[in-house]
Amino acid sequence: MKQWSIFKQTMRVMGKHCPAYLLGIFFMSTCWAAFSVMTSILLKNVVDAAQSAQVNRIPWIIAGNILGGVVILLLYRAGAIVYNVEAKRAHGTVCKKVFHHEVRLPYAYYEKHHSGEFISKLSYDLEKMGSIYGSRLRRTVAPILQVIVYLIPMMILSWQITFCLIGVNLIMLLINGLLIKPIREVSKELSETNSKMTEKMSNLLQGMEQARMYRAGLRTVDEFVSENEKYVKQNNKKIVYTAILESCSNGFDLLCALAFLMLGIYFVQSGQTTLGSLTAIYSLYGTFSFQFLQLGRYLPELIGCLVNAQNIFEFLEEEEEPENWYGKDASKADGAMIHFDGIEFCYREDKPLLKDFSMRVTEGESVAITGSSGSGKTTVSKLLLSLYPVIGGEWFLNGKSCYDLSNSEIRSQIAYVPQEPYLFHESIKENIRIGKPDATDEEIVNAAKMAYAHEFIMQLENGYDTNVGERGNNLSGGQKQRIAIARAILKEAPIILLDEATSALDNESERLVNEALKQMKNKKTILMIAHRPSTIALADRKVAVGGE
Amino acid sequence: MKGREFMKRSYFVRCCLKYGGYFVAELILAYILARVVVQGNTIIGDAIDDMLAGETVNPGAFMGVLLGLTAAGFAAAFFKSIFASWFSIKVQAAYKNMVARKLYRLEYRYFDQNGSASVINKVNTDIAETDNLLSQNVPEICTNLVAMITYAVYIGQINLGLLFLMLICYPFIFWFTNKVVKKIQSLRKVFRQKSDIITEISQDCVSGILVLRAFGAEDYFQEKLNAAADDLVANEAKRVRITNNVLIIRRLLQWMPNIICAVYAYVMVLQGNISLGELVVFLMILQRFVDAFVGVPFNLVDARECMVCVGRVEEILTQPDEPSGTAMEGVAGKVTGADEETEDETVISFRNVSFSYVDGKEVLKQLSFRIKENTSVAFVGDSGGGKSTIFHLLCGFYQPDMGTYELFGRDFKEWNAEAAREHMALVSQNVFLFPTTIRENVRYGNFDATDEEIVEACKNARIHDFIMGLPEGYDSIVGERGILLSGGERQRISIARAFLKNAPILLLDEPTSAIDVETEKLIQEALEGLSDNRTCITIAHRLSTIQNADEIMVLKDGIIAEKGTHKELLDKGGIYSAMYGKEEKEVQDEAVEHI
Repeated sequence: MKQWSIFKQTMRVMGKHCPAYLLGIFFMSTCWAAFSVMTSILLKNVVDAAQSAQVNRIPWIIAGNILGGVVILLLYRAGAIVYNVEAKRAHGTVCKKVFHHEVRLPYAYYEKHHSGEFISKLSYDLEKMGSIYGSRLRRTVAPILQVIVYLIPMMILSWQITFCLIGVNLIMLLINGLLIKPIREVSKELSETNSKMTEKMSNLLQGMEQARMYRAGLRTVDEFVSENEKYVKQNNKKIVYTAILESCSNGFDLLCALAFLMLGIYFVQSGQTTLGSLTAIYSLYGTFSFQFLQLGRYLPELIGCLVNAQNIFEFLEEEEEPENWYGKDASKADGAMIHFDGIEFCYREDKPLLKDFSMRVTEGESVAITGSSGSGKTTVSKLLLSLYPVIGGEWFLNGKSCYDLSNSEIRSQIAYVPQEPYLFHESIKENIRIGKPDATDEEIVNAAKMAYAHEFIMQLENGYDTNVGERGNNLSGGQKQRIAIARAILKEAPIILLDEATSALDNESERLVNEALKQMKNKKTILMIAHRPSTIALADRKVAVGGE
Repeated sequence: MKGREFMKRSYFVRCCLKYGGYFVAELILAYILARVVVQGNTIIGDAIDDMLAGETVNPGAFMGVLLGLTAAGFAAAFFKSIFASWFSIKVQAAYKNMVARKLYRLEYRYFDQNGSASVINKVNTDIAETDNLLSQNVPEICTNLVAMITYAVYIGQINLGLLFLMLICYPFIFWFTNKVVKKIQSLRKVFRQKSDIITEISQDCVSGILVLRAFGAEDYFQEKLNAAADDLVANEAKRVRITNNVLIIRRLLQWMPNIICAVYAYVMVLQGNISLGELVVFLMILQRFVDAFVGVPFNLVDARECMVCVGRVEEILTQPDEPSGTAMEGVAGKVTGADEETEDETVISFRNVSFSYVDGKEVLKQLSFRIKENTSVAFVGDSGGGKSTIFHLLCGFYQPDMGTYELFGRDFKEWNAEAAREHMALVSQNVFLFPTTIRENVRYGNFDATDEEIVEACKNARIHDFIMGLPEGYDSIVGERGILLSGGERQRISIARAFLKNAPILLLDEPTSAIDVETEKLIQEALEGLSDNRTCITIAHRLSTIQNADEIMVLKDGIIAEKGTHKELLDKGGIYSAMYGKEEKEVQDEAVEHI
């Protein structure tokens, strides 16, 4: 029972809230049914009272009924609130866990998986898993509980009639069961066609420029229209199945009334039941039969969502980046700020990238790392940030070996400015603050000034509170880069690492960025991966990677 | 009136009216079904009365009628369902087709302004909502409404007072649903926003993982995400309180008629106004009546929500179409292929063209130039100088605010946009590949092309060898948005498309980002082959590729600051020569670097 163990795991996520959640489901389902029972009891009493022409009992019946109904509804409400809140809480817990995990995977994972894809798959799985808490489980369980609640009074009122009604319902359930499979198949086909149509539409929109230039658009539209016609035709089958189901449920409704009448008259005439009970059963019958037909209907959906939950659990089992890659003891200590000693590295075993690479940078030095594209320049920066472990050799940071330093210790000493300045979707101020989460506003402004970013920021309508938009799209490349530099300055780390920080900038922006760099020279150890001569000129010396 | 205006102009309403027949049939059948229920119950009631009067009831007597009614019910329900589905499906299909056709005709500006992602979202989600409206909401409303009226008439026949009593609380239900629904909607919106924040943070963090990790900001964002998740729970607690209050009040509203009417009916039985049999039937019908009765206002609320989505789709449908004239060819019949050897004919001319995307920010200022047949022209200049805008105008995606743009001697306004574009092939820098086979992707250049022609085009585009190296060759599927291919490969597929199209004018938007030397060489070769015997217009980001151009135009701030050949411009010693000097130095430095 694999599914059962995933289900248990899913429930375990809730921890101590689980019993409350399950109780919530219980009260929601049973009280909802019990309320209908109250109404039918009222009807029974009214009819019985009318038949026996008793007057004085009526006020008591009504008062009792209202009281009971209100109590039941209040219980329902309590159950519903607990249920919904716990369901959302569970969903939130999973989200937190997944996020915690998804930002702590080894860097190689992100390079291997397309970020958009794995995130959208994760959020899809998360939503489906959340729907187990939020609806699927309850929908599966509720009919069972409700049918039981309905059956008890019905049996008491008249077991004979109740059995007959269950009989008719079983036939209906059978027909339902027979039709479910073909309907599901047709629905699958339909949703396939539908998603094809959606895809066509998306293609048309995404490639609009070319669609228009190459007449491809017209063709896509034609394809869409014919796909649409296919969809309409495919629907015919489903339409007939649904119609059969609907006519059966309506027809059986009438048929039940018929059976009910025949039996009712027989039982009333033979004195085995009262007219009141008959009315009460009949009024319960509608909702009872509805719930009865829901039995088992939502189970496949629940099982489907368990697959998504399983995906999430599997993702959570992916190994996180370790505190330290090596688990070895340092061979020696070294006084330099940065010292790479005979480093070997490759991404794939058949393609060695760095062979016996060595580099020594003393404190306060500015060094340019150069080399043709593909030579491993950027790899050096990734190794320095300890995103990957080196395969051979050892390197030292501020006197300590990489074997001895945890990844976070290494990163805390480096302020990094990437080639593509990534800005998060929040205000400029918050983006700079990432460099030092507890920085005051004043410190942020100072950093921005040093990065020559203050002026343009002040010209923006909301100044430092301007939202940079998705991926910083509201700003130009140069502006983004200067914010990224301000972020690095704010970090106050001894080493500044720039990865082709000016390669995508126009002349004016480049000049400003270089100005900012000049200011930091000698105060910090600066490592720049560069190919622009103007940038290389800023450095004290050059180190070439991949000399061949 | 806004509503009336909407009814008159709405494309959605037009679609509905077109298939109105199905809808009417659905209504009639819904009525028959409700009547059958009433009729069946009346017979039962009479039987009960007979029984209570001490008569022996013989079920066989009305058995036949009841069976007949049941059969009628079966049939009515069956056809009602069929007509309802037909109506819904046909209207949806017509509406979707309308949207698809519209998207193709829509002014290009709309996509730039709204972002294609948001348009896709709009189209997909909102059309799906329309589906809900038609396949669930509308049938429900109809069934409930018809049932309600039928039952009401029946109850009125038994006793008008009873009907009146039930209708009293109706306005209250409407008032109540209206009031509460707004509150719920706003809470639901908050809920959506909060969940979006959670996905956004994840997406943002994983996309920026390099920065996140370098700065050790994991905990910083974890806190933000936790806060959003906790907010979500808090918001849910608030929302669920309100929705549950609504649910409970709805239940009570359904309950009240039960109690009041049951008691009233009871009193009337005691007074002898109605018989006991009628009471039982009344109570049976009452349940159905109340369900339909309370259902309608809530159905209407749901429908109104769906109508908002319909409104958003309507917004797309009412956008202006891309302007397009009727002329299918240029003046003096100059539409023949690229082979024609007539020299010195003007293919394209801009006269005093001004253009702005946003009012007050002119991108092109009184721009004038001529491009002669079979020449090659390059536009250079800083980003934001207007290079891409010129392409937008050339392709007819945008129209000049002032001045004229002539293609083959005819004002572009008079051209049929599609016919005009037949003369141009665009090699753009962000190449969109459709998620199908490579062969089909190339075929977009010319749908009549044979497989041999496609292979030929790919050979010319220097991509054939690469394609043959793939496990499935030309039948390899390119991933969504062509992810599996590198920029250089996509570029060459786009070049193959252009070869296949064989249009006299070639528009070439060079890629900005650097590609490795080997690929760049291949692309260069391919382009040289392509520009033979064609009018070739290039947007250049690096000057090394355009030194052989017949004319180079340097754009600055929306005007042509300099023009001439490479040599002329260098001699002049202006902007171009400064740009060239800088690039040259870098190339040399880099070369030195590599030694």
